[in-house]
Amino acid sequence: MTVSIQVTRKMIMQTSPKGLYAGGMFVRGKKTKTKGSLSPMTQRVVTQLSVMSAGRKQPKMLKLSKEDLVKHQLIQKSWAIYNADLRAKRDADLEKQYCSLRDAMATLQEISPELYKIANADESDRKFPLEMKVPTDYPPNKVWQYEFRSGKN
Amino acid sequence: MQRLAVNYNLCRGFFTGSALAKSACSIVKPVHHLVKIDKAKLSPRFPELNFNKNDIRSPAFKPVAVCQDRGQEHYLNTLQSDLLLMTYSHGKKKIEGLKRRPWDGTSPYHLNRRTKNPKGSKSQLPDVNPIDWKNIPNIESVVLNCYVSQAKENPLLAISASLQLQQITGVKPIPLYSRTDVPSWKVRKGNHMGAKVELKGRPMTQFLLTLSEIVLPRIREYKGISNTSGNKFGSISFGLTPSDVRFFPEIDSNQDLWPVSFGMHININTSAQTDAQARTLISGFQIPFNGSKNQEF
Amino acid sequence: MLSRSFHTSRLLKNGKVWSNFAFRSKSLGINSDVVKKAVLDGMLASGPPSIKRKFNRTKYNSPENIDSMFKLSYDFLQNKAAALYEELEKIKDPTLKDDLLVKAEINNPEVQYNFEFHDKIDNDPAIIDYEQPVYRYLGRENWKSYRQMLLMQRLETLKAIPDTLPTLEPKADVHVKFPYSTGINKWINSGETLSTLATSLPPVFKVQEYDSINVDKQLYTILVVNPDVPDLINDTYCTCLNYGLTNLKLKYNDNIIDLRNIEKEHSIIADYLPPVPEENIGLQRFIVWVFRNKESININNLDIDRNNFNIRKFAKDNELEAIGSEIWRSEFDSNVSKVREMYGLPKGRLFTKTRN
Repeated sequence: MTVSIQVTRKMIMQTSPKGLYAGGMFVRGKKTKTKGSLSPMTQRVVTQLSVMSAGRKQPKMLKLSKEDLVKHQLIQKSWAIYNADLRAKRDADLEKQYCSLRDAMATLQEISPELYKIANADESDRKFPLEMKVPTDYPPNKVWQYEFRSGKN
Repeated sequence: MQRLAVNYNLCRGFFTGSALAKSACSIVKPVHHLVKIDKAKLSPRFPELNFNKNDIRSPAFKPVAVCQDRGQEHYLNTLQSDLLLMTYSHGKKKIEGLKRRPWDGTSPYHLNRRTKNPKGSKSQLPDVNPIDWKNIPNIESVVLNCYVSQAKENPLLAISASLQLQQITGVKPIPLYSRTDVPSWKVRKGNHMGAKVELKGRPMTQFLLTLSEIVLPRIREYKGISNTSGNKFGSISFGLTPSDVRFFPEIDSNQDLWPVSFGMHININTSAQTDAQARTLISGFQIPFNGSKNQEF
Repeated sequence: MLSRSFHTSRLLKNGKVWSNFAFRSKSLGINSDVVKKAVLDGMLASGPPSIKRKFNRTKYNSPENIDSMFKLSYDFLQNKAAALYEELEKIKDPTLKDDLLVKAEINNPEVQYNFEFHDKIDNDPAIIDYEQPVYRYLGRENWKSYRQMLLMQRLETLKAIPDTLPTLEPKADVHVKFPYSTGINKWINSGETLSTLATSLPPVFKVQEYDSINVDKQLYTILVVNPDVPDLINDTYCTCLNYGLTNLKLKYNDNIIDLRNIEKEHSIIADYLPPVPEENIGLQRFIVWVFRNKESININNLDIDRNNFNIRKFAKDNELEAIGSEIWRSEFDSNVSKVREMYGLPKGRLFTKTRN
């Protein structure tokens, strides 16, 4: 963010009316404003504060026409319903998993108490392996499309 | 109160001098209906404030779900069902936490007396319920807390620390002020001492993944979070030193803008009921743990 | 019935229930073809037709990809609605049926457009048809979000509730208007102070029901009372009945009660007596009460003392259930004498400014 602000400042300086085009060449006028008496450290903090402040960062409020408003509301509603459906399905799956876990353990307890003891041993503080990665979009499962041909051939 | 209201209803005096016009005592006016009134909604000013916050016409509208949440999807697709399997214990009963003890009632003074503190604790402790499909542990929030002790001499450092938190997380931090005078540390009450930020939702998983995929692997001889960390109720805390923080890509790519960096405390608040469950959950996000297992429950 | 259900199930096969008006009311669709096209088939090249000025219309930009996203969402929700309509055919219970109908239509963008951007009080039945459960549902929500709260607040602060009837559980939206050349041509706000000239001729009422009721059988009673008539002998106030109508029939859409459209012989309990407050007694409240009758009332058997009217007793004796109310206030002004002359009333008393 700081970088982008510096860039824009630079651009403003280049296009400000103080700089004049003379015969196709850019001539910088005489500086009328000094940087001020702030120390570089304080100047840095002033910049940091301006990065954090809310000023001029709020986007403009969208003004939708009546048609688009209705469309937007429908899209929002369907997204909410879609997610509620997903949530309900997930919960149902988990419940099913829990029930079959419970039933399997109950059966095991009846059939083989020794195995049940091993299966039901306390495993608290067990960790997921460090090798388990959170999936990413890239790299893809198939690294290279060997059979790929462009449309012309 | 009701009788007064009835009296008022039946006989209002017409003349101001009549006895009925004089109230004997001040009463709270009764309400005669069950409709809930939201006074803010009745005001003709600022009609746009009457919209719900998720309505696009409201000035407080904030678009949600604007991009995919990789960490959340990982939790829902993989971790959740695995956690159910790992934390399942057949025939496990609810473990009751310490509760306040009532008096035995041998003395009439026991009536209305405050109950005794729990044995060995000043406050009540929550129950530990067996895990089922409704209470699988999940990460609720991550709180980053950045206290800069040098800020007592140079308050500008607290501002830099605050910006550092914002750069790393993308969420606006809250400034921290010292609460009391501590003469031995030369801290005055009300000094700006740093910042904290509470992460939820996508910024939270984004931060956790940056931490586990980019920052922690680059720390020299990093062993992992201590296995003894935790507050007993499912919150895990650890810290990052100023040099560790430099590995965050936002800081790393702008090294010359950050002559000083600041360490921070990271609290991961989960809905787990014990620390062991919380550690199991957090380890699913590639965060290493260090130290002997099962030191406590 | 059988042929009809067979018909609907055949029509439902393709799942496009929201564009099917063979068995659904026309009011569930957008009336104007241009607007309908702009909503359902993507924005027109000339811009949104709801923007009237051409300059603004051409300047307007829709959010990116809103149309393709809309199409996806529309199909998704329409399929859900189609499933609800299929379920509806198996259900006999009318209240459950109404609930399902609301659920099936509440997300329909055409219904939302119609309700959001058209007049909800003076409704056009071709656009907002309160006979449709979904519009009644939307209407009730709209009423609850403002007018109901305003009414209850005014009834409470003006102490109309314990002074006339003990309480009110509002079920219907009541509007009052004085539409003549002397009156004010708008639905009044609850608790407004009106000039006596404006109220000199009988008001017009509009009672909007949102519940599912038997419209053909249900009868209504309207009473306008003034609980602020001074009773000097007993040092108190008494209630005056200013207007009384009974045995009224209402429909969901056609529900304006005017002297011109009621059967005068067996519905007028008391003729209209306009507000004529006497000088220096301050504001008088005029409270309109709307009741559901249990059965028809024979007005010849009623024994009413309109100058000392007991509304609680009247409601109890005739088994009336209060469902709505409205309130306005009047004060002595320069028109009072004119109104008194008009109705042949005696000259009003003059009170001192301070009464002791």
